[in-house]
Amino acid sequence: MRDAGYIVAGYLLTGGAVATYASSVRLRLRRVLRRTRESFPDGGTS
Amino acid sequence: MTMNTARIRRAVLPATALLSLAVLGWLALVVAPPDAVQGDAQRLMYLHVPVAWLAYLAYGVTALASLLYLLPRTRRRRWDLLAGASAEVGVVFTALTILDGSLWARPVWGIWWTWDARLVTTAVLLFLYLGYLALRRVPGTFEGRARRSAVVALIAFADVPVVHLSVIWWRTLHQQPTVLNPEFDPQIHGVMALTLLWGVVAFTVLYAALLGQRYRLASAEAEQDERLLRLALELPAATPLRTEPEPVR
Amino acid sequence: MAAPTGSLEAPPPLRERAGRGRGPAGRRADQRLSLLRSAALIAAKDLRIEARSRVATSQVLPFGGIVLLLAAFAIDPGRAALAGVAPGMFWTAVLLAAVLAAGRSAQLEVAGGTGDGLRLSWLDPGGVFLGKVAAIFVELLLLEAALLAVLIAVYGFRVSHPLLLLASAVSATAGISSVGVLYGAVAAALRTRETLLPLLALPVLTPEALGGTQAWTAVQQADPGDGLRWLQLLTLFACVLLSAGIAAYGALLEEE
Repeated sequence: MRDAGYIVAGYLLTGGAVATYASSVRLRLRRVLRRTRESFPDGGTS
Repeated sequence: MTMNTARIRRAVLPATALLSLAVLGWLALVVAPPDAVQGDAQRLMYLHVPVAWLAYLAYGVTALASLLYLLPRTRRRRWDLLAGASAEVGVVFTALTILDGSLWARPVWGIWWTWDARLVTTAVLLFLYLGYLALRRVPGTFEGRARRSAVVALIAFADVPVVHLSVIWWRTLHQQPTVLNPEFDPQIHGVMALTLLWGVVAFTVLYAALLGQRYRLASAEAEQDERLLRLALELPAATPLRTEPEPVR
Repeated sequence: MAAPTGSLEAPPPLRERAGRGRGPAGRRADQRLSLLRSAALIAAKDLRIEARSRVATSQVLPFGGIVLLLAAFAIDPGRAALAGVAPGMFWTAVLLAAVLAAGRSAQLEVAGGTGDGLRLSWLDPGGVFLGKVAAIFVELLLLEAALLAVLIAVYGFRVSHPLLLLASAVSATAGISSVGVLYGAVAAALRTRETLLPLLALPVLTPEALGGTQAWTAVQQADPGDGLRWLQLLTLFACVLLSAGIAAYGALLEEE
């Protein structure tokens, strides 16, 4: 495939960026939920 | 048991997105033929066009949610949280739009950047997003932050078409020798058109999935802030800390 | 934080104007002054403060000048290119100086504690916005006049169409002032104001930069050609921004 480098870079970077962003959101969510659970053991979040 | 069904329901959208993207990868890299003029580099268009569409859609959602928050009749906290969430997802797609565009332009035209109206407008859009997100990070009351952010989002939204128009004039009115007349979406038919359409659909599902996740995060953060505030003020849990903002005047 | 009832009738910064016979002393808070009247009061206040403190003349103007000078370093002065890039350099310098001026204008309300007074007063919020825009507008026009002199003398800028020059400067400055006051209010009480305000304002002002540059480029040519088109864009944009500011400023003044 001609220009394979650019194509591979494009698909990898796009996929990588989306995956990284999605994981960062999940990580942050888990952190917040955990902290809320620790600070307020009586009530959870929906 | 409710937790499990909720979890399963929440996983539907991301799973669908993943699946659609996998299909897109197969269509774009295997099934679709190389372009007659651009060759295989054209395959990057199957990424660039959908993410560009989403960058602008995300901003539209932010603007709409901001408007809904500002109007007294529809003012709910959820609109502010949605606006912020969509903006963050949007900035990722805007950056990807520019990146994929450059990776496509380099093999096809031999340049990383051109002063095309769409490209410049997307760059300005990126800065508008970044400013908006920076503003949201400044601490303050929920209502104050939401109001400020909403105004900024709407001004920026109105600005985008003006920027686009002015750059088009800049590039066409002037008697400068135009080295290239870049066409970011050439006429395509058949399998390629279908692949492109599938790309738009797949990425839209992805946007919805990411937005849902990000909104959940925003909601959880807001709720935690409120609980901590309650704790600091030593209010019992049942005390109404805030009502939905009253209509002004 | 509500001000004591006594100051509601005649808040100190406006007392001087209120004493002019037809003053608003004694009106109830729900009886608002007209838009233009509020604007005139606020514009006069801001300009009076500027006349006394001279921040614009002693700080903003030299800042604009040094930016213009620094920009010239990018071009070899021996070449004729200097006159060609003059409009772009000029509007860049003006935009950067305007951000400073806008920050200062917003700071006037925060530092003096008049923000609360304005909120509780009988002034029309849209009028307050217009007044602050008018004050910054005047300051920026004076800045531009001074920088224009530098442009002509140092950059070799030639003016073939003075009317286009003036009209485009007026429209562009009106738009710049509107964004400056509006975003100044957004960032005013925030700790990161100095870095936030440029980041918010400058991307929105891209059409002003482009329009101003293109219009002033046309000013140098024998045939003004596209210059009028750009003037139209600048004027339209200024009207949109002014309206948006009048509508939104009240929301920003609301108490946190």
